Order: sequence, then C-alpha cells, then structure tokens
Amino acid sequence: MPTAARHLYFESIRLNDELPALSKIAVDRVQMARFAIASNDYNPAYLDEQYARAHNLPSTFAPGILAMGFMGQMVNEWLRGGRLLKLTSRFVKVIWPGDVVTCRGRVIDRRIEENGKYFIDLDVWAENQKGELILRGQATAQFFYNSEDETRQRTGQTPLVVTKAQEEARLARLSRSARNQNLNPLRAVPSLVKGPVPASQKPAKVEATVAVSANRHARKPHRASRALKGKRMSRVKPAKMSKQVTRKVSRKR
Amino acid sequence: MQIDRSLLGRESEVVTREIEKGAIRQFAEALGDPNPLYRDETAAKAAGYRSVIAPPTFSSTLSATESLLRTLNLNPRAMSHGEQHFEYFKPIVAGERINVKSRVAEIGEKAGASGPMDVIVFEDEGRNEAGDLMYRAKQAFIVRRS
Repeated sequence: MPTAARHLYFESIRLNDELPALSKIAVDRVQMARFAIASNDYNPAYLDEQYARAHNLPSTFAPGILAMGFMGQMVNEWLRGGRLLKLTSRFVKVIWPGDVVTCRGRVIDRRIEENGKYFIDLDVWAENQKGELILRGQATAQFFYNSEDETRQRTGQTPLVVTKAQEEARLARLSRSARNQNLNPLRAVPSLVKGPVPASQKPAKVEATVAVSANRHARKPHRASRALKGKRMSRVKPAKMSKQVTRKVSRKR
Repeated sequence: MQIDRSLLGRESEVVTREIEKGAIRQFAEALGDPNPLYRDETAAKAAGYRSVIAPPTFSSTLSATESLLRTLNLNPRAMSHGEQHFEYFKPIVAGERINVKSRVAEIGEKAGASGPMDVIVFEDEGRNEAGDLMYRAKQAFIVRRS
C-alpha cells in the first residue's frame, strides 16, 4: 500500500491527483460464494452454474456491489484521515469468474465550505483485465485542512478557517513558485503551519501565516530557474476513462 | 408488464439490524480488504471508535428492500442492479442496533435494446437507537418486462 504519509490533508491534495490504483486478485467462485454469504444475497446467478447456464449465461457472475466494495477499499486506503461521505457506482459491465478488477480514481473538485469544512470530490472507476469499464461513480470525502486543523478539532477547538479567497491565493502562489523553480508545487512551499504549535502561539487565522510565507518567497527568488520563468509546469495527464463498453448479457428465460 | 406506478412511496416495515463484529470481519474478508479497523478492536479504539467499524459497502447487507419486494409482488430474479449510492452520516460500529427502513423512491422508464425497461429505485435509511440518521442507501434496479 503506497501510504508514504500517515495522514492526508486538504492542503496537499491537488485537482487531478490520481489515487493509487488498486488491483485485486482475480475474482473466483470461492470469493463469490464467500461474498454471497457475507452479504446474505443468495441469488443463484452468483452461485449456481447450472442455474446460470439454464438462463443462457456463460457462467455465474459476481454482483456489481462486490466491485463497489473494492472501490471502497481503494478510496479508504487513499483517505488516511479523511472521512468518506458519499460513494456511488453505476454498474456498467458484468464481472465474470477470473476477472481481475482494477480500481482507479481522480480528484475532480476541491471544495471549501463555510466555517472550516473541506471537501474533495473524486471520479472513481473500475476496469477488468481487458481494460473494459465495469463500474464508474463518484466519491466525496471530508478532510482536515492540515495538521493544525486536526489538532484543533481533536482538542475541542474551532476548526481552522481558510476562506476560498485565501486558498486561491495560496494555490496561485504555489503554481507561480513551482513555475519559477520547476518543482512539484507541493514541495515548493512549506506547508502553512508545520507540526503542532501550542495554541497560544498559533495565528488566529491563516491569513497571517500566508502573508509571512508569501514575503519569504518574495525575498528569495530562485536564480537558477529564471530561465524557466513563464514555462508551464508539466502536469501529469490524467488517464482517460476507459470507453464505456456495455455488453449485453443475454438472460432470456 | 409495466411496474405499477402507485407503488411509489411504499415503505417497508422497520427492520432492526444488530451490527456484529463477526459479520463485519466476514464481509471484509470476502472483499479481501485488510484494513485493521474492520477486524482489530485495538486498532479501532486507537482510531477513536468504540469497536470495529464497517466497510463503506457493508450497509448494503442491512437493506430492508428484500422485505419490501415481497409485499410489492416484484420478482427479484427479473431485476438487475444498475446503480448504487451510499451517503454516510455516522460510522457503523459493531455492537450497535440500526433500524432500517426502505421505500420506493422512484419509478421510471429507460430505453433498452429490446424495448423500454422499468427502473425502480429503493431508498434505505438506517438510524441508530437515538434516531440519528447513520446512512442513506439508494439502489436502482432495471426490471425486465415479461
């Protein structure tokens, strides 16, 4: 599991970030049987080969909600401290025994709501070993803004309030700084607040810290990277979502 | 045959589900999800929960839709699961009792390759004993007309 950091915070999540993909071992009939028991769903189409063949199916198949469970695993492994609020799936294609399911996701929105609430929206999707889309959906999670916000909330204080305007200014500064230094924007500027700070020394609002770090960077232009000024930062191109393939499963009776 | 539109809004009885540690563990193992919060009490407590918590799709196992289907005279074998939505308000923790109610939230029609198909959406709400909303789950089924 690629969990380099113990916690993930809103301030370090970027638009179009891709979640580490989760490839599951091939779905087999034993797993299908275990899942039927665990979810108390004894639909014979998931369990009984003879039933499936009698209904013109090539074999039994796995319920879509199994792959949605894999999706939940991928999202929760990425969250690390965030809280999942919503998970949706549209089941596009049937999962057959032997299918290898890979789940993927991408950040499609960062939202700031009033009074220090920070949300991330994700596109999520899963493919089989042929690259065919088997489900697609969305997820929403709430995050702490940063470690200071987490400490405050865990000790019963009010959340850290960063306004949309402050966040936009910070992101603009990050991308300017990244262009200047040709660096990953997240490493270009240290986080607004480093580590837990005693409450008495904490700035009441982030505005103050923002101003400090802005000045510091204004004072230290990166000489070597002047040549790169104005050059766009190369961005990771998000993987295209697989073309939707809908194969009709004949289920005449 | 088209689904009877008058079924819209029909509700199930309230079904009480006891959240068992063993059931959560079995579900997580069936998914192959190694998250310790689903099986290790110590890890769950260290993370601030009273006991182990349930994976995101576990609430599908608590659904009261099946009892509703029986009263609606719909054949579950003629239905295929097209979409699933979960909204989470409070984590589901082992040891809780959750009261679940299902209702017919939408009835619609969809064009299929072999003619129109019915779409029926069930919405489940799970509440703890204090009455707090824990989750809301919507499942959309495509119903073949026979």
